[in-house]
Amino acid sequence: MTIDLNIFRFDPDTDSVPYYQKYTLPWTEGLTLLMAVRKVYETMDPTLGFRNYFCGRGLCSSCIMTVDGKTKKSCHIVLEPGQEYLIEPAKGYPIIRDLVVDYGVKRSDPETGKVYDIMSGTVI
Amino acid sequence: MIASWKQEKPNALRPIALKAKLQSAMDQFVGLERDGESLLAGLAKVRELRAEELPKLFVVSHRRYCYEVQEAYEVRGMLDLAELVILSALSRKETRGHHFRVDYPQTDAVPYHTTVQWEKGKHTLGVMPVTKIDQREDVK
Repeated sequence: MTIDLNIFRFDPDTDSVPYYQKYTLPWTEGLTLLMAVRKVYETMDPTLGFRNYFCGRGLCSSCIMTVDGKTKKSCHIVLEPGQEYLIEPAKGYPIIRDLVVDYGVKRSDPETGKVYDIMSGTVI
Repeated sequence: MIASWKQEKPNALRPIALKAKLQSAMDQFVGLERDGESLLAGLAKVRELRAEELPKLFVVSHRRYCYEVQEAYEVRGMLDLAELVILSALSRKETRGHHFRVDYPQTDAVPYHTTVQWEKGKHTLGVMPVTKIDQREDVK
């Protein structure tokens, strides 16, 4: 049993437009999306950029990615065999490379329009 | 250092592969139960890895968020640290806490600190008596 990951790739230094790269890897029981991306980096593609710092238990949120259009913590997503997933960087942040985004920028709430400082969590 | 890592070379080795080799060597020779023989074998293995595998490191070059470069620096430090761990384990010839020496199963009656200094690629071993902090000259 395998799973397919369609991963967003974009390096602003070399690429003019983003593209998607497909990786197929074996499924194991309890495999989370974060571990699958890590496995792709370790065994298949050393050029894949993603945040390799994580608590692995849904507390730090540094692993957030957009999965099939929804922003989720990737360490909490347990993959199912035979499925195909669309993996993109977290929405609303400037992209550094591939799945890595810049969390240090100011970001406005789409509903209220208030601008938050991401690092301190306060309204500016 | 980064320039030499980025050069294309035969038998190229990823930092992550060298990390795995070092970790398995430390697990095998410097694990929970240690004796002088296995520690010396581990020391030889770590020095062999540093001499033969470290120059083979190759990292893909990215200007942005290049995690491989960071891992290459990490594994270089890990090799130094592994050597220090083995040297200090060799210098403590007793069993204390989870430092379990099969060849020295007794705990000494008088405790002591072992110190390892690493300066410019050379190490010096030392022994310090255990004293209360308010009796130490250098703290006052």
